[in-house]
This record gives sequence, C-alpha cells and structure tokens, in this order.
Amino acid sequence: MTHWQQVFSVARWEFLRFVKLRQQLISLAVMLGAGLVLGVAGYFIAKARAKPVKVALVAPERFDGAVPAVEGVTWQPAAPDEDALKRQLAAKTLDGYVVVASPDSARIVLREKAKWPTRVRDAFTAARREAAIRQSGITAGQFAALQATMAFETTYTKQKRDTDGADEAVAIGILVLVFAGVMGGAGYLFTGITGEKQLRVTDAILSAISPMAWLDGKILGQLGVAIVGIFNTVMSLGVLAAGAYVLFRDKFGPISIPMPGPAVVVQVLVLVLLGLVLWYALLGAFTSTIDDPNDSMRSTVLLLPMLPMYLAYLIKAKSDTPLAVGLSTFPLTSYAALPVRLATTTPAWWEFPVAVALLLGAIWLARLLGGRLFAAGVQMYGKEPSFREMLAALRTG
Amino acid sequence: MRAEEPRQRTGSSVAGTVSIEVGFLPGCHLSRIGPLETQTLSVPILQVRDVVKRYATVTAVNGVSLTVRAGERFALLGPNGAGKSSLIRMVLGLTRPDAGGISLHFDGAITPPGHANAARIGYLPEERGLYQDVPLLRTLTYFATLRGMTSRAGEAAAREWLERLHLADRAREPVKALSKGNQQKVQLASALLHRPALAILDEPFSGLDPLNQEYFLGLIRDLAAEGTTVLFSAHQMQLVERLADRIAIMQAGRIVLEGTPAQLAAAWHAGDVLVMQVAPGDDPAPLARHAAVAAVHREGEEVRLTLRRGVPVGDLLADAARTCTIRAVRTERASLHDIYVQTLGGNPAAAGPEAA
Repeated sequence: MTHWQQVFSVARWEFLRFVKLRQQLISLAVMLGAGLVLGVAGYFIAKARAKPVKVALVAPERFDGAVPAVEGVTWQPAAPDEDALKRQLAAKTLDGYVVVASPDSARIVLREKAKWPTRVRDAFTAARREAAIRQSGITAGQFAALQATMAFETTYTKQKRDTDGADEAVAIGILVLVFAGVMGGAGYLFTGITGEKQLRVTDAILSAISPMAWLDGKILGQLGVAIVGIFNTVMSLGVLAAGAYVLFRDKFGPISIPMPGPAVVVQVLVLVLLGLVLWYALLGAFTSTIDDPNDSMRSTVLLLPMLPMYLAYLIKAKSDTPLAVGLSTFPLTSYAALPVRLATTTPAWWEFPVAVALLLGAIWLARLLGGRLFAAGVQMYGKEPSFREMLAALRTG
Repeated sequence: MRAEEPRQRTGSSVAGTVSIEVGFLPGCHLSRIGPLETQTLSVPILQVRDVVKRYATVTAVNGVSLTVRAGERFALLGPNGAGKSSLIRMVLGLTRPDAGGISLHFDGAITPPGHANAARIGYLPEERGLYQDVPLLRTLTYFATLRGMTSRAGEAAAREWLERLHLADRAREPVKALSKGNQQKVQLASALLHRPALAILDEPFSGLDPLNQEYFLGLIRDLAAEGTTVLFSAHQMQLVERLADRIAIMQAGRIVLEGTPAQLAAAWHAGDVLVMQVAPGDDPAPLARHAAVAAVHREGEEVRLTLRRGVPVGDLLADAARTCTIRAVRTERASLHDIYVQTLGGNPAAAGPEAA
C-alpha cells in the first residue's frame, strides 16, 4: 500500500467522522426552512407596512398652500373635535390626526411611534418651501442655482483601483469564509488528535501507517471538512441575507450582490486552500504534543490562525502599503491578506506566484518538521514533551 | 541433551547452547532460537539481536536477542516494566533500538521493522483504544484499509469477523454501545482481520473475565492453526501454559529464561512439586539444601518444595519429617506460575539449572 493510498484512507475516515451526510442534509433543510419562514414573514410584514394609514387633517385651511400628498397616508377631513378624534384613535378607526395651527406649525397626535409622521413633516415642509419661493418671485431655476454646490474634479497621481463598498464587502466576505474554513477544520483537527491520544488509538494506527501518512491524511480530510464548512457558511449567510432583504427591502431599496471575477475567485481559492494546508500541518503537529486539552495551556495555539485574518482586516483600507504587500507574500499570512487585496486593489503581477511558491515551500517544510513533531508527540501519553524535547524531535526526526 | 535445554541467561550471556553463525544475517546466533534440530524444520519470522532501548535514565531493553519461528506461538513474559512492550514497539517500528538489530522475514525477504510490513503484521496494543462514536463495521473496515486491504475486501473481512464474534447484528452500533469484553473482541478483530503472517498481541487477556479469556484463547489457537505466527505477552500463566509453544521470561530489560514450557520446567528440574501441610511454627528453609529440592516456598501452613528432575528424592520425606510436623502431603506438576515466580522471585544462581 502506497503512502498516498494510506493518506486517502485516513482522509476519507477523517472527513466522514466529522461530516455526516444525513446531518448535512438536515442542516440544509433547516436552513432552507428558516429562509422560507423569514421570507414568508417578510412578505406579510411588508404587506402590512404597505397598507396606507388613515390620518385626519384638522384646519388645513390654516396652511398656506395646497395640502401635500404623502406616500402611505390617506387624508381624512375632520371637524376640530379632538375628543372625538381621540375616541377614533382608541377605536383604531383612525391612525392619527394632524392639527394645523398656523402656516408655520402643526401638531401630530397618534397612538404610538410610527414612521408616517416624518413623511408628513417632510411633505409639509417641502410644500411650504415651494409656496415661499413662489411668493418671493424666484424662479425654480434660480432656486436650484442657489442650492447647487461648486464642482471640483479630483485627480490622483498614484494609480489605484477605485474601491467602493462592494469591494470592501467582497473582502469582508472572503475573510468570513476563510475564518469558517480555518476554525472549522482546525477545531476538528484539534479535537480529533487530542481525542485519539486520550482514546489510545494511536499505537494501533501507527503500527500500520507512518506518522507522516497519518498527518497528511488528517490535513486532507480536514481540508474537505473546511470546504464543507465554507459551503455551509455561504448557504447560511445566503439564506440570512435573502431573509433580511425580504424583510427590509423597503428600507435598503434594491441590492446588488458584488461578485469578484473568475480569475480572482480561482486565485483566492488556491491561496486559501494552500494556507489551510499549511496551518493544519502546523496545528496538527503542535496539537499532538498536548496531552489533555482541558488543562493544557498549549490549547491556545488554536487561536493563532486568527491573527492573519485580523491583520488582513487591518490592511483592507490601506491595501497598497509595503506592509500589505509583505503580509500578502509571507506564507503564514498570505492566505488571508492577498485575497483581501485581490478584492480591494490590483496587486502586482508577481505577488500571486510568489505567494503560492512560498506557501508551497512552507508546506513542504511544515510537513517535514510537523511530521517529526507529530511522530514524537502523538506517542507520548501522560506528559507533554518539553520544548527542549520538541526541538530535539524537530532536529532528529 | 544440552542443546535441548532452555537458555538460562545471566546478563547477556547464553548458557548451555550451541552457537552457529549464519550467512544471511551476520552475527546472528541461531543457538538463541532453540534446538538445532528444529531450526532446520522451521523458518524464522522475527529475529531480534542484542537490542538495547533507553528512555532518559532508564534502560528498558538491555541486550535482548530472540527468534520467533514461523507458525510458533511465542510468549513474552515478565513483570510490569520488564521491557516487553518496549521490545514489541521496536519490533513494530514504533520506536527504534539504540543498539542491536531487528529483522522480519516474510516470503523469503528480510525487512527491517516499519510500515512496509503493515499488511503482514497485526498488532493488539497494550494501551487499548477504539473510536467510540464510530460503528463497528466502519471501524473494522478502516483498520483493514490501513493494513492494505481495499474497502470492499476490508468490509467483507469485517463482516466475517463480526459474525465470528457474534456481533454481526450490532455492526451499525457505535463501539461505545458494547461491553468492555466485546470492545476487546472488536479490538482483537481490528488487529487480525487482514490475516497477518505475524500477530503481535500485547497482553490480549488483560481486563477479560474468565469466559472471555477462554474465548480469546480459542481465537488465538484458531489463528495459529490458520498459519499465523503469534507473539504475545501476558500475565495469566495458566493461559500461557496452554497456549505457548515457546516462552521467554524478561526481567529488567533482559531475557532471563527462554524455551518450550517443558524446557523451562526442565531448566528448574521442576517436574514435580511436593506440597506439605506443616505446623505454624515449623521452619522448612533447611530443606532447600537437600539435593532433590530446587526451591522452597511457604504460604501459610503450606510448604511447596519444587523438586529437581532426575534427582532421587531419597530421604527427603524423612528429612522433612525431622524438620517439620507434616500433617498432609501431596504432589503437583510444577506450573508455569511456579517457574515464573521462582525465576523472577528466587535466586537463579542457586535454584536454576547448572551453569554450562
């Protein structure tokens, strides 16, 4: 049996240990169900919101001009009997009433806080302004000229791609997906290895395959788990976003989902997958030295892969600085930093190949040294190897 | 006759044996693997030569040499910490010797320990462990694939073993749903379902009730009958006596006695044990000086005199009657337990076979 046959056996086992098809289908059904519920709820809420409110208008003749039409408000003529109007409010046959006190002031009475008074106020203010312009003899063109701002044209001498909210959204989206992949896979890798040590299955496995084949299989299996994790995150966020859109579309208006180009998608995928392999190799090797995850200070190492994501978030706004370029090529950070820069700027042509080459080199080194550390650590029960012992294992294998 | 005697070892020396250099493994003394006559009839499957293993300040294995022949059931005995598991881990390639050499012989090819032998070796570790949340069938299939079987062949072998273990109806249940005894059965199956040429079983009977011990004994016998060589360690002397073709007893990292059960008994000249019920105040110690007595052990009012084989008992009973008040007498065959206790607890120089 070849090394890679053993690796694929382990990878399949690891993948199926943590990704169970039935549970995945149930999760998918639950997510779609939640999306459906959100959508239906949003539909009814939007329908209820679209229903016009009935507002009584008292003494409209005191306003200096025509009563303006207000979106979502149906005016009802009314006598100035506020007691009668309040009874109608209590009986919910009326949503509110407006008492015009003078051309410059009015009073709104309603049961509880609502959005339509703002629209009423804005409409009356606009109507009053229009009436004032008409009375002053200024033409509409003159009024527009008075309101207009001075035109400036700005030119940047440094070439930079225009960034907008969509680019930032893509960058943040990438970071969220990378986070889902790293933390999902790393978490399972951690619990898997420490669990195997505690279950004492290591001797039985290592008598059949090499530590390197076992570690490689784990990395590959967790990569699969991470991809499923990313898919689940995309689905969850998609359902959430769709539900939120249905609920709040009247507030946000039409939303266009920013999508990076296919070349960027491929580059991001390559970087993220290689980055995950590198981090899994390091985490897998180090985790093997942990005896009991419940009382080992070494468990905090699990948080390390978050650091590159934090740094990548920081460079999002300053994506062309030397620091950003450095983080985009350094193997431990490039898998998060360069994808963010691919979304927010146009990196130099050499950055992607250099980042990939360095990542591949780092993976080779991490597998070599990680395999040595894993071989030493995973067979150690009852005590954790000291850092001196770990260094000795790294040196001698 | 000398060549048929077991090897009583002091330090790394070998006493009472013939030493022959063989061509394919320079420096290997076939004398250490047993009588010359049997060597010509059986092929070695495992050879361990002057192996040393140190952990920090402890020498776990100190110059051990042994040979296991194909088809043999070889028992490795010794108290906890004697170095049995350390030796087994080196044979498997889990750790490397600091000195000496280990070679495995499969189909005429000689290989060092390591994962290249995975398909040929089955291993039941002393530290038992299975994935608790995984169904039995999947667990066994996984171990089979790690040992070189295809998924389909592995699953077929797993089903066959579950049938054999009367667990076929529980194939889809997780391991944790089984009793401890049944979990051990599954663990044993995981070590054997790929039909290894050499099965290394580190304390296969530990933690089992007597019925399951008998069941395991039967399984291991069947395995050997099917042609698998078995190297095992155990503390249950009665079971070892019934199972082992050859035995090596280890102490403090060395093999102190090696041979067939009959040879070990002969080593102590201990074909029989004279058991006497004596008065509480009696002191049987002077009987150790009698020519026919190999060892004297007292447990309460019972005194056990291990007799030297071939030496006339003569006036032993008369001597015993002068020393103690004998209330009852019976004879027993010396058990492996007696030999083990005397080897490790007695004084080998005094009670053991004559040095060559």
